[in-house]
Amino acid sequence: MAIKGGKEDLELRGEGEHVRLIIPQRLRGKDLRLESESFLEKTSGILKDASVVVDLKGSGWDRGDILSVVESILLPAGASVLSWSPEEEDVRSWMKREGFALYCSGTEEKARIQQHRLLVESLVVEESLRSGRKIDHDGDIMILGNVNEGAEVFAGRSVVVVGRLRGLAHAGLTRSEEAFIVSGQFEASQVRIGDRISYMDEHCAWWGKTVSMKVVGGSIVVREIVP
Amino acid sequence: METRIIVVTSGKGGVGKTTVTANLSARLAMEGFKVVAIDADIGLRNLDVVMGLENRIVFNMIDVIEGACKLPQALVRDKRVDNLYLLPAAQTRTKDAVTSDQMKELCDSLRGEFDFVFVDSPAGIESGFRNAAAGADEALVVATPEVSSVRDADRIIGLLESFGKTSINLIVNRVRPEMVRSGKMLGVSDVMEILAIDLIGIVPEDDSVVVSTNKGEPLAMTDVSPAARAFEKIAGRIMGKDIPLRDIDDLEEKGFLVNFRKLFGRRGGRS
Repeated sequence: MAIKGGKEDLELRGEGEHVRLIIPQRLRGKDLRLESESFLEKTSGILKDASVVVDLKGSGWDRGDILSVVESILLPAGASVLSWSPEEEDVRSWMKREGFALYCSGTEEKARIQQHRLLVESLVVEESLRSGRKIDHDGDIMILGNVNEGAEVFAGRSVVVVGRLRGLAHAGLTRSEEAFIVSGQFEASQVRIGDRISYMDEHCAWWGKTVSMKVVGGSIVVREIVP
Repeated sequence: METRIIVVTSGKGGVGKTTVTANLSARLAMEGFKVVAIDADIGLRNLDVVMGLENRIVFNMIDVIEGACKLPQALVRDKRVDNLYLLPAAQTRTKDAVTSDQMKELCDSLRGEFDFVFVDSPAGIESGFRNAAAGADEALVVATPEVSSVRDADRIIGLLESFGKTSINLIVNRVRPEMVRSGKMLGVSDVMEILAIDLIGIVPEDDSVVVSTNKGEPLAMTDVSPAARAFEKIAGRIMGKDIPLRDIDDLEEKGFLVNFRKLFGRRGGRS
């Protein structure tokens, strides 16, 4: 996946388990705010709550430039920085000296990603989700209401819907082995955990009941919760 | 009284927004309120036809916004009911011809001049709907008891809430009691359970609506059919009257009393 505004513009690339934000040299030292507006319009859904590796192309990046990146792109988009990846060695040196998390390939970076995920807090939504709403979060999601048909919940880990689940719940996008879905009243035609999908209808024994679901032996297993 | 600006919307097309707008506008005007119905469906105007005012249009809403005429010049007065006006849409333009700010300004310019302003929203969730909702204080969401309509209404309610509209009421239109009873149609309670907003009225499916639409004479002006009576009750509730919602079984009126009313009971307006 790659989203670009044009040649020599801001660029976003999906790289397996994280997103890479590439900032070209020509934007260094400029007010990024104007440049970033249209870019954020295209990418806001993707960057929200995403862990980003920031690529700084070219040379001469200083503290002011880094601040401009954070203020103009990362904060408005709701993204968090996994690591920084400056192209120039001098920039890399001062950033390392000042304690920035720098990108390093291989197992060290994977460990960092893993650690980052463990730090992601749960998201609690204190209302029902109407049709068209989409909640996307790296950690657990708890909905204190209903998820109506046409609403979508995507969680890195587990999803708990206190009320009725009629929309789409996809749990375990990053940690499928531990993820589960709980619904106070289950009426959804499809649920997803990790890379598993299960289709259901009103003829299922657990339709309309309080259930929990998780992947066991490669299949989504549903269990009715009886208080 | 302070002007109340009410957008009539639904998301899905063909559920009866224009019929609701025409009938509630007419009914409230018959109650003595000064009412204007705005057709915000630019490019696909219909409210003028349903209200029977299509051949009296000279200027339209876009002419007002673009300064081609003054607002009073574009208002079409209904000759059958005192205090009822229409602000028609332009048929030869598109939804992009107006912005939300312009629509808000237009609605604000009607404050103080009218008791009620009804804005008939186009279907969809794009700029047409957003513009229609921009100037409104309240919303009436029209849904039919079909899964697709309810889902679209749910989407619209979510958007209205995100616009900061707090007064959102539901009209369930085209209910067929016999189908609800046989389990072939969603019941009003099913719709209510999903949408979770206040219900202000239930309108039964009624052939009279088709007849009145084709005649260009809102039911509320002349008829005593079940739908006309439902609109009368909704108008009453909008006015603040305490009118209890009837049970679904009561929507289907049968027997000699209805026939008697049809023969002798035509009320108000022209017969």
